[in-house]
Amino acid sequence: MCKLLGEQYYANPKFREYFDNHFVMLRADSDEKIGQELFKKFKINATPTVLTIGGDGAEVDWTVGYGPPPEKFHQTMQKMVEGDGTFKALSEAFAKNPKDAAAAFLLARKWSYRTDSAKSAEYYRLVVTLDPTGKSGTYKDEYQKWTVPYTEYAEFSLGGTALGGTTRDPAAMKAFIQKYAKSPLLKQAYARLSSYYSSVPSKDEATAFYAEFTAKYPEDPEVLVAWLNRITRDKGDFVKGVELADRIRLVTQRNPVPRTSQSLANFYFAKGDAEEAENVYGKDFMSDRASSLSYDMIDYANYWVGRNANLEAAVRAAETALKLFPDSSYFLSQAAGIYIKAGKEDKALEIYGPAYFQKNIGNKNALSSYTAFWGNQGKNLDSALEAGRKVVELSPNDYYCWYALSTVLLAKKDYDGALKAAEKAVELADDAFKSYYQKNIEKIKTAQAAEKK
Amino acid sequence: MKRFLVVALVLVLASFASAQNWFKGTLDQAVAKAKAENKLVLLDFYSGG
Repeated sequence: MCKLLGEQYYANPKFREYFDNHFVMLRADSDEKIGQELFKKFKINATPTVLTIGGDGAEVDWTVGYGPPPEKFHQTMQKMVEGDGTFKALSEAFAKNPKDAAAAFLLARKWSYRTDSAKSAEYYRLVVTLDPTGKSGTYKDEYQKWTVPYTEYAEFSLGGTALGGTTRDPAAMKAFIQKYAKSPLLKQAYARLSSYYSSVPSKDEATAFYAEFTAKYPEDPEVLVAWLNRITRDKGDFVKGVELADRIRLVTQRNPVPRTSQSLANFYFAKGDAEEAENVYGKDFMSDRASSLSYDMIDYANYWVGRNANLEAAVRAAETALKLFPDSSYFLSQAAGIYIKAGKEDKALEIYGPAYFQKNIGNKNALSSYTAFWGNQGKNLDSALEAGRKVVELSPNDYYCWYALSTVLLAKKDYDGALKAAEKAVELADDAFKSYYQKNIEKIKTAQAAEKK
Repeated sequence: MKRFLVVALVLVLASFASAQNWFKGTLDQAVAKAKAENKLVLLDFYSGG
Protein backbone atom coordinates (compact mmCIF):
# COMPACT_ATOMS: atom_id res chain seq x y z
CA MET A 1 0.00 0.00 0.00
CA CYS A 2 2.88 2.32 0.82
CA LYS A 3 4.47 1.45 -2.48
CA LEU A 4 1.28 2.12 -4.37
CA LEU A 5 0.86 5.51 -2.71
CA GLY A 6 4.42 6.37 -3.71
CA GLU A 7 4.06 5.22 -7.28
CA GLN A 8 0.60 6.57 -8.00
CA TYR A 9 0.63 9.75 -5.95
CA TYR A 10 4.00 11.11 -4.82
CA ALA A 11 5.76 10.24 -8.09
CA ASN A 12 2.85 11.46 -10.20
CA PRO A 13 3.98 14.54 -12.18
CA LYS A 14 0.37 15.72 -12.24
CA PHE A 15 0.50 16.64 -8.53
CA ARG A 16 4.08 17.81 -8.47
CA GLU A 17 3.31 21.51 -8.60
CA TYR A 18 0.71 21.19 -5.85
CA PHE A 19 3.24 19.45 -3.61
CA ASP A 20 5.83 22.17 -4.25
CA ASN A 21 3.35 24.92 -3.46
CA HIS A 22 1.73 23.49 -0.35
CA PHE A 23 3.94 20.97 1.38
CA VAL A 24 7.32 20.37 2.91
CA MET A 25 7.46 16.65 2.36
CA LEU A 26 9.15 14.47 4.92
CA ARG A 27 9.27 10.73 5.00
CA ALA A 28 9.40 8.57 8.14
CA ASP A 29 10.75 5.21 7.04
CA SER A 30 10.14 2.33 9.44
CA ASP A 31 13.42 0.77 8.31
CA GLU A 32 15.46 3.73 9.56
CA LYS A 33 16.14 4.72 13.14
CA ILE A 34 15.14 8.34 12.66
CA GLY A 35 11.92 7.18 11.04
CA GLN A 36 11.16 4.74 13.85
CA GLU A 37 11.40 7.60 16.34
CA LEU A 38 8.74 9.51 14.42
CA PHE A 39 6.49 6.44 14.39
CA LYS A 40 6.85 6.33 18.16
CA LYS A 41 6.43 10.07 18.70
CA PHE A 42 3.12 10.16 16.79
CA LYS A 43 1.97 6.68 17.86
CA ILE A 44 1.56 5.43 14.31
CA ASN A 45 0.47 1.80 14.06
CA ALA A 46 -0.48 1.51 10.42
CA THR A 47 1.09 2.42 7.09
CA PRO A 48 0.67 4.29 4.96
CA THR A 49 -0.33 7.08 7.32
CA VAL A 50 -0.04 10.64 6.10
CA LEU A 51 0.04 13.27 8.80
CA THR A 52 0.07 17.00 8.17
CA ILE A 53 1.63 19.41 10.62
CA GLY A 54 1.34 23.20 10.66
CA GLY A 55 4.09 25.79 10.95
CA ASP A 56 3.32 25.94 14.69
CA GLY A 57 4.26 22.26 15.01
CA ALA A 58 0.68 21.17 15.79
CA GLU A 59 -1.03 18.30 13.99
CA VAL A 60 -3.50 19.47 11.36
CA ASP A 61 -4.96 16.19 10.16
CA TRP A 62 -4.19 12.63 9.09
CA THR A 63 -5.34 9.93 6.76
CA VAL A 64 -4.63 6.22 6.97
CA GLY A 65 -4.45 3.80 4.06
CA TYR A 66 -4.39 4.25 0.35
CA GLY A 67 -6.50 2.96 -2.53
CA PRO A 68 -6.60 4.16 -6.12
CA PRO A 69 -7.40 6.43 -7.82
CA PRO A 70 -4.75 8.97 -6.76
CA GLU A 71 -7.15 11.81 -7.64
CA LYS A 72 -9.38 10.76 -4.77
CA PHE A 73 -6.46 10.72 -2.38
CA HIS A 74 -5.47 14.14 -3.67
CA GLN A 75 -8.88 15.48 -2.68
CA THR A 76 -8.23 14.29 0.86
CA MET A 77 -4.93 16.16 0.84
CA GLN A 78 -6.54 19.29 -0.60
CA LYS A 79 -9.08 19.27 2.22
CA MET A 80 -6.21 19.19 4.69
CA VAL A 81 -4.65 22.23 3.03
CA GLU A 82 -7.97 24.06 3.00
CA GLY A 83 -8.72 23.12 6.61
CA ASP A 84 -11.97 21.42 5.65
CA GLY A 85 -13.10 18.96 8.34
CA THR A 86 -9.58 18.51 9.64
CA PHE A 87 -8.68 17.35 13.11
CA LYS A 88 -7.50 20.87 13.86
CA ALA A 89 -10.73 22.50 12.59
CA LEU A 90 -12.90 20.01 14.48
CA SER A 91 -10.90 20.45 17.69
CA GLU A 92 -11.31 24.23 17.45
CA ALA A 93 -15.05 23.89 16.77
CA PHE A 94 -15.46 21.55 19.70
CA ALA A 95 -13.46 23.84 22.01
CA LYS A 96 -15.73 26.72 21.04
CA ASN A 97 -18.90 24.66 21.50
CA PRO A 98 -18.36 21.71 23.86
CA LYS A 99 -21.98 20.61 23.27
CA ASP A 100 -21.31 19.92 19.58
CA ALA A 101 -21.96 16.17 19.42
CA ALA A 102 -21.25 16.07 15.67
CA ALA A 103 -17.76 17.49 16.19
CA ALA A 104 -17.18 15.01 19.02
CA PHE A 105 -18.24 12.16 16.75
CA LEU A 106 -15.97 13.22 13.91
CA LEU A 107 -13.09 13.56 16.34
CA ALA A 108 -13.80 10.05 17.60
CA ARG A 109 -13.63 8.80 14.01
CA LYS A 110 -10.31 10.60 13.49
CA TRP A 111 -8.82 8.88 16.52
CA SER A 112 -10.26 5.59 15.43
CA TYR A 113 -8.51 5.87 12.04
CA ARG A 114 -5.38 6.60 13.98
CA THR A 115 -6.01 3.29 15.85
CA ASP A 116 -6.10 5.12 19.19
CA SER A 117 -9.02 3.28 20.77
CA ALA A 118 -8.71 5.04 24.14
CA LYS A 119 -9.04 8.51 22.60
CA SER A 120 -11.80 7.47 20.20
CA ALA A 121 -13.75 5.86 23.07
CA GLU A 122 -13.40 9.09 25.04
CA TYR A 123 -15.10 11.04 22.23
CA TYR A 124 -17.71 8.36 21.53
CA ARG A 125 -18.72 8.57 25.18
CA LEU A 126 -19.09 12.33 24.81
CA VAL A 127 -21.35 11.78 21.78
CA VAL A 128 -23.64 9.48 23.78
CA THR A 129 -23.74 11.93 26.69
CA LEU A 130 -24.33 15.02 24.53
CA ASP A 131 -26.87 13.43 22.19
CA PRO A 132 -28.52 10.42 23.86
CA THR A 133 -31.39 10.27 21.35
CA GLY A 134 -29.26 10.44 18.19
CA LYS A 135 -30.44 13.70 16.65
CA SER A 136 -27.15 15.43 15.91
CA GLY A 137 -26.45 13.80 12.56
CA THR A 138 -25.80 10.56 10.71
CA TYR A 139 -22.76 8.59 9.68
CA LYS A 140 -22.63 6.92 6.29
CA ASP A 141 -20.33 4.02 5.56
CA GLU A 142 -18.85 4.51 2.11
CA TYR A 143 -18.33 0.83 1.37
CA GLN A 144 -21.24 -0.91 3.03
CA LYS A 145 -23.68 1.86 2.19
CA TRP A 146 -25.53 2.02 5.49
CA THR A 147 -26.34 5.20 7.37
CA VAL A 148 -26.81 5.37 11.14
CA PRO A 149 -27.14 8.21 13.66
CA TYR A 150 -23.84 9.27 15.25
CA THR A 151 -25.03 8.09 18.63
CA GLU A 152 -25.93 4.61 17.40
CA TYR A 153 -22.52 4.20 15.80
CA ALA A 154 -20.86 5.52 18.95
CA GLU A 155 -22.65 2.94 21.10
CA PHE A 156 -21.69 0.17 18.67
CA SER A 157 -18.05 1.25 18.78
CA LEU A 158 -18.04 1.48 22.56
CA GLY A 159 -19.50 -2.04 22.66
CA GLY A 160 -16.60 -3.21 20.51
CA THR A 161 -14.04 -1.44 22.67
CA ALA A 162 -15.47 -3.03 25.82
CA LEU A 163 -15.22 -6.48 24.22
CA GLY A 164 -11.56 -5.94 23.45
CA GLY A 165 -8.63 -5.30 25.72
CA THR A 166 -8.00 -7.25 28.87
CA THR A 167 -11.36 -6.85 30.60
CA ARG A 168 -13.57 -8.22 27.78
CA ASP A 169 -17.03 -7.14 28.86
CA PRO A 170 -19.98 -8.05 26.59
CA ALA A 171 -22.56 -5.93 28.45
CA ALA A 172 -22.33 -2.82 26.27
CA MET A 173 -22.63 -4.77 23.01
CA LYS A 174 -25.54 -6.79 24.39
CA ALA A 175 -27.23 -3.53 25.34
CA PHE A 176 -26.64 -2.28 21.79
CA ILE A 177 -28.37 -5.35 20.34
CA GLN A 178 -31.36 -4.84 22.66
CA LYS A 179 -31.65 -1.15 21.92
CA TYR A 180 -31.06 -1.22 18.15
CA ALA A 181 -32.79 -4.39 17.01
CA LYS A 182 -33.21 -3.03 13.49
CA SER A 183 -29.76 -1.51 13.13
CA PRO A 184 -27.75 -2.17 9.95
CA LEU A 185 -24.92 -2.82 12.41
CA LEU A 186 -26.84 -5.58 14.18
CA LYS A 187 -25.14 -8.49 12.47
CA GLN A 188 -21.72 -6.98 13.02
CA ALA A 189 -22.61 -6.51 16.67
CA TYR A 190 -23.60 -10.18 16.94
CA ALA A 191 -20.43 -11.19 15.09
CA ARG A 192 -18.27 -9.27 17.58
CA LEU A 193 -20.10 -10.94 20.45
CA SER A 194 -19.70 -14.28 18.71
CA SER A 195 -15.93 -14.00 18.67
CA TYR A 196 -16.13 -13.38 22.42
CA TYR A 197 -18.52 -16.28 23.08
CA SER A 198 -16.42 -18.59 20.94
CA SER A 199 -14.03 -19.10 23.83
CA VAL A 200 -14.32 -16.87 26.89
CA PRO A 201 -17.57 -17.47 28.80
CA SER A 202 -18.98 -20.70 30.19
CA LYS A 203 -20.65 -23.33 28.03
CA ASP A 204 -24.13 -22.41 29.27
CA GLU A 205 -23.72 -18.71 28.59
CA ALA A 206 -22.38 -19.51 25.14
CA THR A 207 -25.30 -21.83 24.42
CA ALA A 208 -27.80 -19.11 25.33
CA PHE A 209 -26.00 -16.60 23.12
CA TYR A 210 -25.68 -18.88 20.09
CA ALA A 211 -29.31 -20.01 20.36
CA GLU A 212 -30.30 -16.36 20.00
CA PHE A 213 -27.76 -15.63 17.25
CA THR A 214 -28.73 -18.63 15.10
CA ALA A 215 -32.45 -18.00 15.61
CA LYS A 216 -31.87 -14.56 14.14
CA TYR A 217 -29.85 -15.83 11.15
CA PRO A 218 -30.99 -19.45 10.68
CA GLU A 219 -29.78 -19.75 7.07
CA ASP A 220 -26.37 -18.14 7.48
CA PRO A 221 -23.64 -20.80 7.41
CA GLU A 222 -21.11 -18.56 9.16
CA VAL A 223 -23.47 -18.07 12.06
CA LEU A 224 -24.27 -21.77 12.28
CA VAL A 225 -20.57 -22.65 12.08
CA ALA A 226 -19.81 -20.27 14.95
CA TRP A 227 -22.00 -22.33 17.26
CA LEU A 228 -20.73 -25.62 15.88
CA ASN A 229 -17.14 -24.54 16.57
CA ARG A 230 -18.02 -23.80 20.17
CA ILE A 231 -19.66 -27.22 20.55
CA THR A 232 -16.56 -28.84 19.06
CA ARG A 233 -14.40 -26.91 21.48
CA ASP A 234 -16.48 -28.00 24.48
CA LYS A 235 -16.93 -31.54 23.16
CA GLY A 236 -20.44 -30.57 24.17
CA ASP A 237 -23.94 -31.11 22.94
CA PHE A 238 -23.39 -33.47 19.99
CA VAL A 239 -27.10 -33.80 19.26
CA LYS A 240 -27.34 -30.05 18.71
CA GLY A 241 -24.04 -30.25 16.82
CA VAL A 242 -25.37 -32.83 14.36
CA GLU A 243 -28.47 -30.73 13.81
CA LEU A 244 -26.28 -27.70 13.06
CA ALA A 245 -23.90 -29.69 10.87
CA ASP A 246 -26.80 -31.05 8.81
CA ARG A 247 -28.16 -27.55 8.35
CA ILE A 248 -24.76 -26.19 7.36
CA ARG A 249 -24.32 -28.95 4.81
CA LEU A 250 -27.76 -28.24 3.42
CA VAL A 251 -27.21 -24.51 2.96
CA THR A 252 -23.67 -24.90 1.58
CA GLN A 253 -24.08 -28.02 -0.53
CA ARG A 254 -23.79 -26.19 -3.83
CA ASN A 255 -20.72 -24.30 -2.82
CA PRO A 256 -18.88 -25.85 0.13
CA VAL A 257 -16.45 -23.32 1.58
CA PRO A 258 -13.14 -24.82 2.76
CA ARG A 259 -13.20 -23.19 6.19
CA THR A 260 -16.75 -24.34 6.76
CA SER A 261 -15.93 -27.86 5.67
CA GLN A 262 -12.92 -27.83 7.96
CA SER A 263 -15.15 -26.84 10.87
CA LEU A 264 -17.49 -29.69 10.00
CA ALA A 265 -14.58 -32.14 9.89
CA ASN A 266 -13.36 -30.88 13.26
CA PHE A 267 -16.80 -31.45 14.71
CA TYR A 268 -17.06 -34.99 13.34
CA PHE A 269 -13.60 -35.85 14.67
CA ALA A 270 -14.52 -34.46 18.09
CA LYS A 271 -17.59 -36.66 18.00
CA GLY A 272 -15.49 -39.67 17.00
CA ASP A 273 -16.92 -39.96 13.49
CA ALA A 274 -13.83 -40.04 11.28
CA GLU A 275 -15.79 -41.42 8.36
CA GLU A 276 -18.08 -38.39 8.18
CA ALA A 277 -15.05 -36.10 8.53
CA GLU A 278 -13.59 -37.85 5.49
CA ASN A 279 -16.84 -37.44 3.58
CA VAL A 280 -17.04 -33.75 4.22
CA TYR A 281 -13.39 -32.69 3.95
CA GLY A 282 -11.50 -35.73 2.77
CA LYS A 283 -9.45 -36.80 -0.17
CA ASP A 284 -11.99 -35.71 -2.81
CA PHE A 285 -12.65 -32.28 -1.37
CA MET A 286 -9.87 -30.34 -3.05
CA SER A 287 -9.99 -32.15 -6.39
CA ASP A 288 -13.73 -31.45 -6.57
CA ARG A 289 -13.08 -27.80 -5.88
CA ALA A 290 -10.21 -27.63 -8.34
CA SER A 291 -12.42 -29.18 -10.97
CA SER A 292 -15.29 -26.78 -10.46
CA LEU A 293 -12.85 -23.87 -10.34
CA SER A 294 -11.34 -24.99 -13.64
CA TYR A 295 -14.74 -25.07 -15.31
CA ASP A 296 -15.36 -21.58 -13.92
CA MET A 297 -12.06 -20.37 -15.37
CA ILE A 298 -12.79 -21.81 -18.82
CA ASP A 299 -16.26 -20.22 -18.70
CA TYR A 300 -14.67 -16.93 -17.72
CA ALA A 301 -12.06 -17.13 -20.46
CA ASN A 302 -14.66 -17.95 -23.12
CA TYR A 303 -16.79 -15.06 -21.95
CA TRP A 304 -14.01 -12.52 -22.38
CA VAL A 305 -12.52 -13.81 -25.62
CA GLY A 306 -16.09 -13.74 -26.93
CA ARG A 307 -16.18 -10.03 -26.15
CA ASN A 308 -12.62 -9.54 -27.37
CA ALA A 309 -11.71 -7.88 -24.07
CA ASN A 310 -9.62 -8.81 -21.02
CA LEU A 311 -7.71 -11.19 -23.25
CA GLU A 312 -4.68 -11.52 -21.01
CA ALA A 313 -6.79 -12.41 -18.01
CA ALA A 314 -8.79 -14.83 -20.16
CA VAL A 315 -5.68 -16.62 -21.38
CA ARG A 316 -4.27 -16.73 -17.85
CA ALA A 317 -7.49 -18.31 -16.58
CA ALA A 318 -7.48 -20.94 -19.32
CA GLU A 319 -3.82 -21.72 -18.65
CA THR A 320 -4.48 -22.09 -14.94
CA ALA A 321 -7.31 -24.53 -15.61
CA LEU A 322 -5.03 -26.48 -17.87
CA LYS A 323 -2.28 -26.57 -15.25
CA LEU A 324 -4.73 -28.20 -12.85
CA PHE A 325 -5.87 -30.75 -15.43
CA PRO A 326 -3.12 -31.05 -18.04
CA ASP A 327 -4.46 -34.29 -19.53
CA SER A 328 -8.08 -33.32 -19.89
CA SER A 329 -8.92 -33.29 -23.59
CA TYR A 330 -11.89 -31.06 -22.82
CA PHE A 331 -9.73 -28.36 -21.20
CA LEU A 332 -7.07 -28.75 -23.91
CA SER A 333 -9.55 -28.12 -26.70
CA GLN A 334 -11.21 -25.27 -24.78
CA ALA A 335 -7.85 -23.64 -24.06
CA ALA A 336 -6.85 -24.03 -27.72
CA GLY A 337 -10.06 -22.29 -28.80
CA ILE A 338 -9.38 -19.50 -26.32
CA TYR A 339 -5.81 -19.12 -27.59
CA ILE A 340 -7.07 -18.83 -31.15
CA LYS A 341 -9.65 -16.19 -30.25
CA ALA A 342 -6.95 -14.31 -28.35
CA GLY A 343 -4.76 -14.32 -31.48
CA LYS A 344 -2.30 -16.95 -30.25
CA GLU A 345 -2.71 -19.70 -32.78
CA ASP A 346 0.85 -20.91 -32.25
CA LYS A 347 0.07 -21.63 -28.60
CA ALA A 348 -3.08 -23.49 -29.60
CA LEU A 349 -1.04 -25.70 -31.92
CA GLU A 350 1.53 -26.23 -29.20
CA ILE A 351 -0.97 -27.73 -26.76
CA TYR A 352 -3.53 -29.16 -29.18
CA GLY A 353 -1.77 -29.60 -32.50
CA PRO A 354 -0.08 -32.48 -34.37
CA ALA A 355 1.87 -33.55 -31.26
CA TYR A 356 -1.42 -34.09 -29.41
CA PHE A 357 -2.67 -36.13 -32.36
CA GLN A 358 0.39 -38.36 -32.32
CA LYS A 359 0.10 -38.88 -28.59
CA ASN A 360 -3.55 -39.90 -28.83
CA ILE A 361 -3.42 -41.81 -32.06
CA GLY A 362 -5.37 -44.80 -30.75
CA ASN A 363 -7.92 -42.80 -28.77
CA LYS A 364 -11.18 -42.50 -30.68
CA ASN A 365 -12.77 -39.80 -28.51
CA ALA A 366 -9.66 -37.63 -28.42
CA LEU A 367 -9.14 -37.89 -32.18
CA SER A 368 -12.74 -37.20 -33.19
CA SER A 369 -12.82 -34.09 -30.97
CA TYR A 370 -9.49 -33.00 -32.41
CA THR A 371 -10.73 -33.47 -35.97
CA ALA A 372 -13.99 -31.58 -35.45
CA PHE A 373 -12.22 -28.81 -33.52
CA TRP A 374 -9.78 -27.98 -36.31
CA GLY A 375 -12.33 -28.62 -39.01
CA ASN A 376 -14.61 -26.01 -37.46
CA GLN A 377 -11.67 -23.64 -36.95
CA GLY A 378 -10.60 -24.14 -40.60
CA LYS A 379 -6.99 -24.38 -39.44
CA ASN A 380 -4.35 -27.10 -39.06
CA LEU A 381 -6.31 -28.95 -41.72
CA ASP A 382 -3.70 -31.44 -42.93
CA SER A 383 -3.21 -32.87 -39.48
CA ALA A 384 -6.97 -32.76 -38.86
CA LEU A 385 -7.63 -34.66 -42.09
CA GLU A 386 -5.12 -37.30 -41.13
CA ALA A 387 -6.79 -37.62 -37.73
CA GLY A 388 -10.24 -37.74 -39.35
CA ARG A 389 -9.26 -40.55 -41.74
CA LYS A 390 -7.65 -42.41 -38.89
CA VAL A 391 -10.66 -42.13 -36.62
CA VAL A 392 -13.24 -43.37 -39.15
CA GLU A 393 -10.91 -46.29 -39.74
CA LEU A 394 -10.83 -46.93 -35.98
CA SER A 395 -14.61 -46.56 -35.52
CA PRO A 396 -16.40 -46.90 -38.85
CA ASN A 397 -19.78 -47.11 -37.09
CA ASP A 398 -19.49 -43.96 -35.00
CA TYR A 399 -21.53 -41.10 -36.48
CA TYR A 400 -19.58 -38.41 -34.62
CA CYS A 401 -16.33 -39.57 -36.25
CA TRP A 402 -17.89 -39.21 -39.69
CA TYR A 403 -19.29 -35.82 -38.77
CA ALA A 404 -15.82 -34.72 -37.61
CA LEU A 405 -14.30 -35.86 -40.88
CA SER A 406 -16.96 -33.97 -42.83
CA THR A 407 -16.06 -30.68 -41.11
CA VAL A 408 -12.43 -31.00 -42.24
CA LEU A 409 -13.36 -31.94 -45.79
CA LEU A 410 -15.74 -29.00 -45.95
CA ALA A 411 -13.01 -26.66 -44.72
CA LYS A 412 -10.74 -28.08 -47.44
CA LYS A 413 -13.52 -27.48 -49.97
CA ASP A 414 -13.75 -31.17 -50.85
CA TYR A 415 -17.54 -30.88 -51.05
CA ASP A 416 -18.22 -34.30 -52.46
CA GLY A 417 -16.09 -35.97 -49.83
CA ALA A 418 -17.68 -33.82 -47.13
CA LEU A 419 -21.18 -34.76 -48.31
CA LYS A 420 -20.37 -38.44 -48.30
CA ALA A 421 -19.02 -38.28 -44.76
CA ALA A 422 -21.95 -36.15 -43.59
CA GLU A 423 -24.47 -38.58 -45.11
CA LYS A 424 -22.73 -41.44 -43.39
CA ALA A 425 -23.10 -39.54 -40.08
CA VAL A 426 -26.86 -39.13 -40.64
CA GLU A 427 -27.20 -42.77 -41.55
CA LEU A 428 -25.46 -43.92 -38.36
CA ALA A 429 -26.84 -41.32 -35.95
CA ASP A 430 -29.43 -42.14 -33.30
CA ASP A 431 -32.90 -40.90 -34.20
CA ALA A 432 -32.68 -38.10 -31.69
CA PHE A 433 -29.62 -36.61 -33.46
CA LYS A 434 -30.53 -37.26 -37.08
CA SER A 435 -32.09 -33.83 -37.67
CA TYR A 436 -29.02 -32.12 -36.22
CA TYR A 437 -26.68 -33.90 -38.61
CA GLN A 438 -29.13 -33.35 -41.46
CA LYS A 439 -28.50 -29.63 -41.01
CA ASN A 440 -24.81 -30.30 -41.56
CA ILE A 441 -25.60 -31.74 -44.97
CA GLU A 442 -27.56 -28.62 -45.85
CA LYS A 443 -24.67 -26.48 -44.69
CA ILE A 444 -22.28 -28.30 -47.01
CA LYS A 445 -24.70 -28.03 -49.94
CA THR A 446 -25.12 -24.30 -49.36
CA ALA A 447 -21.36 -23.81 -49.28
CA GLN A 448 -20.97 -25.84 -52.47
CA ALA A 449 -23.67 -23.82 -54.26
CA ALA A 450 -22.07 -20.55 -53.15
CA GLU A 451 -18.71 -21.73 -54.44
CA LYS A 452 -20.18 -22.58 -57.87
CA LYS A 453 -21.56 -19.05 -58.26
CA MET B 1 28.91 0.79 -25.55
CA LYS B 2 29.72 4.29 -24.39
CA ARG B 3 26.68 5.69 -26.15
CA PHE B 4 24.53 3.02 -24.56
CA LEU B 5 25.77 4.03 -21.11
CA VAL B 6 24.93 7.66 -21.75
CA VAL B 7 21.42 6.77 -22.84
CA ALA B 8 20.97 4.56 -19.77
CA LEU B 9 22.18 7.38 -17.51
CA VAL B 10 19.77 9.87 -19.04
CA LEU B 11 16.91 7.42 -18.50
CA VAL B 12 17.88 6.94 -14.87
CA LEU B 13 18.04 10.68 -14.32
CA ALA B 14 14.67 11.15 -16.00
CA SER B 15 13.05 8.61 -13.71
CA PHE B 16 14.53 10.37 -10.67
CA ALA B 17 13.30 13.72 -11.87
CA SER B 18 9.70 12.56 -11.84
CA ALA B 19 9.89 11.22 -8.27
CA GLN B 20 9.15 13.50 -5.34
CA ASN B 21 12.07 15.16 -3.60
CA TRP B 22 11.82 14.39 0.07
CA PHE B 23 13.02 16.93 2.59
CA LYS B 24 16.42 16.03 3.95
CA GLY B 25 16.42 17.09 7.56
CA THR B 26 14.70 16.66 10.90
CA LEU B 27 11.04 17.19 11.68
CA ASP B 28 11.87 20.46 13.50
CA GLN B 29 13.69 21.76 10.45
CA ALA B 30 10.77 20.77 8.25
CA VAL B 31 8.35 22.60 10.55
CA ALA B 32 10.54 25.71 10.50
CA LYS B 33 10.66 25.61 6.71
CA ALA B 34 6.86 25.13 6.57
CA LYS B 35 6.39 28.14 8.85
CA ALA B 36 8.67 30.34 6.78
CA GLU B 37 6.99 29.33 3.50
CA ASN B 38 3.43 29.17 4.88
CA LYS B 39 3.07 25.49 4.01
CA LEU B 40 2.20 22.28 5.83
CA VAL B 41 4.60 19.51 6.66
CA LEU B 42 3.40 16.36 4.92
CA LEU B 43 4.78 13.55 7.05
CA ASP B 44 4.58 10.24 5.21
CA PHE B 45 4.82 7.18 7.43
CA TYR B 46 6.32 4.57 5.20
CA SER B 47 7.18 0.94 5.51
CA GLY B 48 8.90 -0.69 2.59
CA GLY B 49 8.15 -4.30 3.54
